[in-house]
Amino acid sequence: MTKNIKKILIIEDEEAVLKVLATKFDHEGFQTLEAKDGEAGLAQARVERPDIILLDIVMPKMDGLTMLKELRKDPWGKKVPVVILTNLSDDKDIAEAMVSGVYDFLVKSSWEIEDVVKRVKERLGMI
Amino acid sequence: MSQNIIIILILIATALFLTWLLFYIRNNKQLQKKLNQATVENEKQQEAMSRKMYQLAILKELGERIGYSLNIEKIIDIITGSLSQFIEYSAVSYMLLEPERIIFKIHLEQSVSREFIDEVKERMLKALAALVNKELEASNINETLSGAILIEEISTPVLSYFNIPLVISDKVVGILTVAHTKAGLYQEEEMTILYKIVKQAAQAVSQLHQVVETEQSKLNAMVESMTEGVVMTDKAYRLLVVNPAARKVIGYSQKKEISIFDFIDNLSGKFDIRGKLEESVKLDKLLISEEVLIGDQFYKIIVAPVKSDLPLIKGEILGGVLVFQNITQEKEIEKMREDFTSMMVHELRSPLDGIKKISKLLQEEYIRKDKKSYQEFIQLIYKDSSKMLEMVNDLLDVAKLEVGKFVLNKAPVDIRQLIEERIKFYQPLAQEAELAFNSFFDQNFPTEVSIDSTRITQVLNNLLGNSLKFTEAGGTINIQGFIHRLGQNINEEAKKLNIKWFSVAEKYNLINIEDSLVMAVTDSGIGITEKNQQMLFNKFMQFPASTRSGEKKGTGLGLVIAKGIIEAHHGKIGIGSQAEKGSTFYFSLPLTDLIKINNK
Repeated sequence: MTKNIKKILIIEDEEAVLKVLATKFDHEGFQTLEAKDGEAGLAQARVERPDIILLDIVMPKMDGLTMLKELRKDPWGKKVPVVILTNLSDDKDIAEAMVSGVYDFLVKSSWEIEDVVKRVKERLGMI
Repeated sequence: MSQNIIIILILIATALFLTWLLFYIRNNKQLQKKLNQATVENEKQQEAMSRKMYQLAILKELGERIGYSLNIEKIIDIITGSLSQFIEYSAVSYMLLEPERIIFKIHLEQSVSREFIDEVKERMLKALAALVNKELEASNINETLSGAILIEEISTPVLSYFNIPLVISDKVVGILTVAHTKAGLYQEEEMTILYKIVKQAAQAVSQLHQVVETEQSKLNAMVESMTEGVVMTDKAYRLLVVNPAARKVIGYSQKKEISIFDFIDNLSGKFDIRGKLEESVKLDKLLISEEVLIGDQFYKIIVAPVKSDLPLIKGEILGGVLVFQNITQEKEIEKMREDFTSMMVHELRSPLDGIKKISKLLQEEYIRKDKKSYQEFIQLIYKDSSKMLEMVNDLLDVAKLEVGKFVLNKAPVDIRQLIEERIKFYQPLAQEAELAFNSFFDQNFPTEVSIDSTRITQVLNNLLGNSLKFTEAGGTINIQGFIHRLGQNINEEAKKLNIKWFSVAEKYNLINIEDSLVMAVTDSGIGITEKNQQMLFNKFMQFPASTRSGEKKGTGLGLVIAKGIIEAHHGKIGIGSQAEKGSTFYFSLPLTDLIKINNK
């Protein structure tokens, strides 16, 4: 049974969004990990090796794209699925995220929590 | 019950967002208006410039023509036409030097032979060559003959002959000659009259010449000092005018000789100078380029034809003019504005998004049953909406400052008490951050002053809040008040009182500040570089300041607003800093102003 509990790392500087996502995924049966900036997120990812990462772009200390580039340098980090959460609609950022090997791209102001849960589950082959 | 709370919260959030949206749209309208104004002014400038360019071209033409023939020819024509009233002669003639030719005009009062004319011509050419000390070719002579007809049978040679040099602005431009078939003429008396007439005419022309030269040099000076690069060419695309700014565009500030090819080569692939000049001259059209990157600067290049307005050659194209307008700074400002707007959008959208997502989640049964989570979420909504409200207030304050609608509500207040209350308010936060507060007030420091206490509190909150945010644990924050006297240097006054104070740069001229109270907040943080110091009080300038806790900056408008508040009180606000040691943020409030208001 414990084998099926998936570990999700949520990296998001907006506390409200972070808490909402954590609560929801917790309720959905995930083991949730939280980080408020890229630096802390990267450290946690390396130690905890989550099954999937939800990542914000605009954050203090280390932004999401920089963190992602760092993460992809690790052998383990190359394969972990990452979902970008952002309200940036700049094409350049999207292109950059795609190049960095991002699995999915979501625009924050339009997504609903249920959609995020659904996409994460799909990506992990849970549904 | 909780559903109601959620609805109210959502309403608050929506209202906040609408306020911001209104502000944003209004601001954008202003921006548009400003841009429109700038365009109109730009067009006006360009128009004025092409007018000046045209004048310059005309004067150049005129100057050259007056120097050689045009007016002199006319004037000499008039002189020769009326000379017969004073002097007797068979022929009156003049020779004028032009760059490519020699004008020779001869008017016959009585018939002579061709031989006679040739002799006069030969003698004049010799005399003129001697005068200008230059060899002159007879083949370059352009001859005009008028008056009586030639009769080859009249074989009388030149028996009387007299030359008068034509001098304009101290330069020999030609020669005037009278000749006769009779001998023994042209004695002293007649010659004096002739001298006088010619001299007067020459003086008149010299004066006119000088006027033209002065005007030309005035215009030249103006073109030289223009910040826009100006290049003017003639019809054959030879350079007539290149000002220092234009040399700078292609990095040729030092090179003496410069040709159109220097411009063509340096701009190849970026801007087709020759093609555009041709197009502009041929189509008689003003052309304005898109932005062109030359070196590390952005330019807008304006190409226009230069046309004559002189009655005789009206509308004739004299050449073309190129104007290089450096738009690098405008582009930078535009970029800053865009960055600022997108940052604001992000900073406002994030908490609003958080509130939206929480309210959605709170509709779920399982959350409502979990009392602790429920409380946490309500608190987050409160925190996020407060943050948004703060930001919207900041934006509205700045908007008010910008349109000059910042109204102060002054009333007598104990400023010392006001400051001490603020210190008390921040004390718990300082303790939490392991920071020590020290306060000091000089004995002269006033108690009751007339100020807008809400606004001054806002300034104090900003300075104290910043000092807490940017100082590492274990640091000290000094809050100090003293009096500054006109003519004294604040840096030295602070030093004398043994105040913890980082010297403020001399360029801010701290001596010419009238008698004032000075409040300073000095931290033991990492300090702020000279470059960043200047950005602190600018609306669109944001630099990546890392706060102690890594928390968000908000609008970053706090100091911009503080500056507005202090300046509305006729005071000054500024900063002194030393790398790795700390910074002093100070503001002054003029005492005379405070007392004056007190007496009212």
